[in-house]
Amino acid sequence: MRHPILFALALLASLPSFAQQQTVTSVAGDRRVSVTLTFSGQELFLHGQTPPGTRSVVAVMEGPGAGGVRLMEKGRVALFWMGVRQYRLIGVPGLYLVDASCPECNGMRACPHGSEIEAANKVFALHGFVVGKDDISARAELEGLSGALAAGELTRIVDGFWTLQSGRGLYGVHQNTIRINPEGKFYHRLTLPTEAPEGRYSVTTYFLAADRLLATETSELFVRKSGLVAWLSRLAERRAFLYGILCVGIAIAAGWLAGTLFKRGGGH
Amino acid sequence: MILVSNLDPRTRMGDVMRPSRSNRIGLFFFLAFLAGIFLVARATPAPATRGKVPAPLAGVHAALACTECHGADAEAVGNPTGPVSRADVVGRCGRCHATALATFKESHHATGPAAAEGLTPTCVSCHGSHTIVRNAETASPVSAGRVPLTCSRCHEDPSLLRHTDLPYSAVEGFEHTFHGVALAHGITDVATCATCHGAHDVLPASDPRSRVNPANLERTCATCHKAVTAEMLAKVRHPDGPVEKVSFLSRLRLYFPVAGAAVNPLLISGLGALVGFLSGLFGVGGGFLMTPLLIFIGIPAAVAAATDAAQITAGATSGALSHSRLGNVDFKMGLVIVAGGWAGGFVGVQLVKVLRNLGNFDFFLKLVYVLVLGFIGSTMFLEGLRAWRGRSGSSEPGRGRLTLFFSRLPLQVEFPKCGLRTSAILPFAAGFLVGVLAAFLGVGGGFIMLPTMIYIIGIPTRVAVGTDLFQIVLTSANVSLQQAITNHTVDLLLAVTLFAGSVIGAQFGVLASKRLRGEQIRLFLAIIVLVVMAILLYQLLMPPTHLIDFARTGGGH
Repeated sequence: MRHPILFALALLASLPSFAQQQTVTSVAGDRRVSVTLTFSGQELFLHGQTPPGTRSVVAVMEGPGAGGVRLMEKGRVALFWMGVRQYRLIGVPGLYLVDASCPECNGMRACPHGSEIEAANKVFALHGFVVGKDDISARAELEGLSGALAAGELTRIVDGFWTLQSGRGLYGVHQNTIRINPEGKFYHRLTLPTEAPEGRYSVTTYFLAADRLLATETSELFVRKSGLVAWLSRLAERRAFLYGILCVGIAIAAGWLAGTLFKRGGGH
Repeated sequence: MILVSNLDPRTRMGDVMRPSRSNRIGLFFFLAFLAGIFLVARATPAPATRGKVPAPLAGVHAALACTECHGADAEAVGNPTGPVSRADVVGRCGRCHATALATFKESHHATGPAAAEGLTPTCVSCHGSHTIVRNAETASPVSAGRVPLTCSRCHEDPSLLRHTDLPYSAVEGFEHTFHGVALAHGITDVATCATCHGAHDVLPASDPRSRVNPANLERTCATCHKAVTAEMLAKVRHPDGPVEKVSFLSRLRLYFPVAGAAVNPLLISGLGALVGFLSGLFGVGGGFLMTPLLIFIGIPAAVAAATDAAQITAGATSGALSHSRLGNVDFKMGLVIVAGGWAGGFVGVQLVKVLRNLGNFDFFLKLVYVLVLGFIGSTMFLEGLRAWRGRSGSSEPGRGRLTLFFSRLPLQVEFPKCGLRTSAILPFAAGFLVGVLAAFLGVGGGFIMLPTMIYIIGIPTRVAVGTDLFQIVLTSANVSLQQAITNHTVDLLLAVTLFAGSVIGAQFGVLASKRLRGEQIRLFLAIIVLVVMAILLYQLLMPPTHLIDFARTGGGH
């Protein structure tokens, strides 16, 4: 009976990637992203005019967080790997994507600099905030579900959490992704992954001169389920019992139907 | 005329000269008619001079004399082969623009099949005629901002596209790309049609000389982007374009509302078929296989486990129906076991709640799981192997002392399909134990139940498979209902996509079970149980990819 398993593995391997064609939506033009049956992520186009004297631009998109996230730390006990500690990370956003420009490469070549965020953070620090992983660490609150917390544990847990979220495309810092054109217009794209949570998003754009913050702009957008997707998930949330009965009913009906069809079709 | 016809013989002469009221209206229309004819005649030029009235020459050619392009013979201008006619205009512009002419002559616009039909553009189609301005000026139809519009005049015209094999939505597709959206917002330093496809030298992508031929694409992108990444190349796509050669089926995606993930529905159905097959063959739910597979392809763990219960309900219904037709389902036995299973499940869930608060409980569960699976798997494997080799005897395992002990307890019930007469306490207790275990392990427990039915209760293998399927229908229906109510984690769309495969797979499983002998089924099940055990053991022993991971809250509470 290993053939079906091989078949399933072959099926898995035959998939080139989960990336699907995405269209670009302009945040300035449309502040709604509809999650429909064909949704497979969305590229957002962000653009605007930089104020005079702008040297670089940093944009931060944040998505809604869901209260707290339960995390566990694995460790080796005797021969086995097991969850040794559990934590709850509170106050972290559901999506955190940072784009930054590189004044030298300007979005058109592989950027060897990669320190634009650090430079920007020095300016931001004067205003009492930072951008990137340190921002998450600064905002997050860690609660130990098994025993007291040791010093420095927060940074380690946030590091691990960042890695998990980056893998899903929900967190990330991307340098040299914003281009400022000769007319002083800046533009870039941010990819909203499939797993992007439903809710209100904000995009904050910072315009920087060499050593100071020139201006800040914030825009908002909504990621909302719509159509059948919205109907089904609302039903599952609000009319749970009805939804459960519907699921079981459809399951039994489907099984019954298949059994009946096969009896007639099989001719035995 | 009108006046005359209106003459009344009885009217006096003086009256004749004064038109009546109706005559006055008639006269008005007659005069209006005459005036209309006069005006139309004035507006229409004499046939000898008919033709377009030229706009005053402006732009880069403002200093040129008309005769430079049109020739001295004004009469020849309307002629199909005369000056600036379609046949002539390219050569005429080329007298000054020799390089452009040489390039254009090689292009698809000049040599393609549509060119022979006179459907392709010439110089004036893109650049205009009397008011040609420099390309860099925004007013130029070939300026960066206006190129897509200019190209679209032919490439989106259905009456033209009908005659050619051009992509139908190339320009529309471009408008949805990053470059297209930027352009729509007045950002003109992005690539447009001509940047990638060329202007005078435009060629189909299939031509090796084309800039958008897959072999040249990287170089074309590199004219702007100094570093071209594989990701960038993957994103260069035009609807209908040949760049991304991925089949439609593998690109199919469906967004599952509750799971919040977009996955290929064919993959989901394929997994459903696989698990359905096993379910029909062995009478197991298949949750032990399906849940990890769903998590592997990106469905959140909680949704995977809950939805799995719904799909098992469908698969098991289909399988149980077929088995009941073959006379393999003992309903009475099934109900007693289910009663035990539900009681056990209830007790198990409460126990889990208490134990989870004590500490690292999940790990020990996994360990218990491995031990239980290892024991059941290897026992069944050895027994099945022995039975397969010594074919002569009964194909069913013998009844042990436990079976004999229970056959003497009170509440004796006849189970005719199983060919058993035993105490109802036995199947109830077996169901109870499996229920507790299933609640602990977070799975349906079908593959623990089946060996219990065969070896402890003593039900013949095939009836055990059918009866187990029947009790799985009831148990998993209950679990999916509970999950939907408590955790809101059942994804109906995902479940339906899984059914599509599993109900069919289950039918094949039942057919296969008819072909196989009891001990063969037991042997194969033993192998699968051992494989699952090996995977679990491997997970326990190997270092995990992420030391910090999302904590999975167990289902069933």
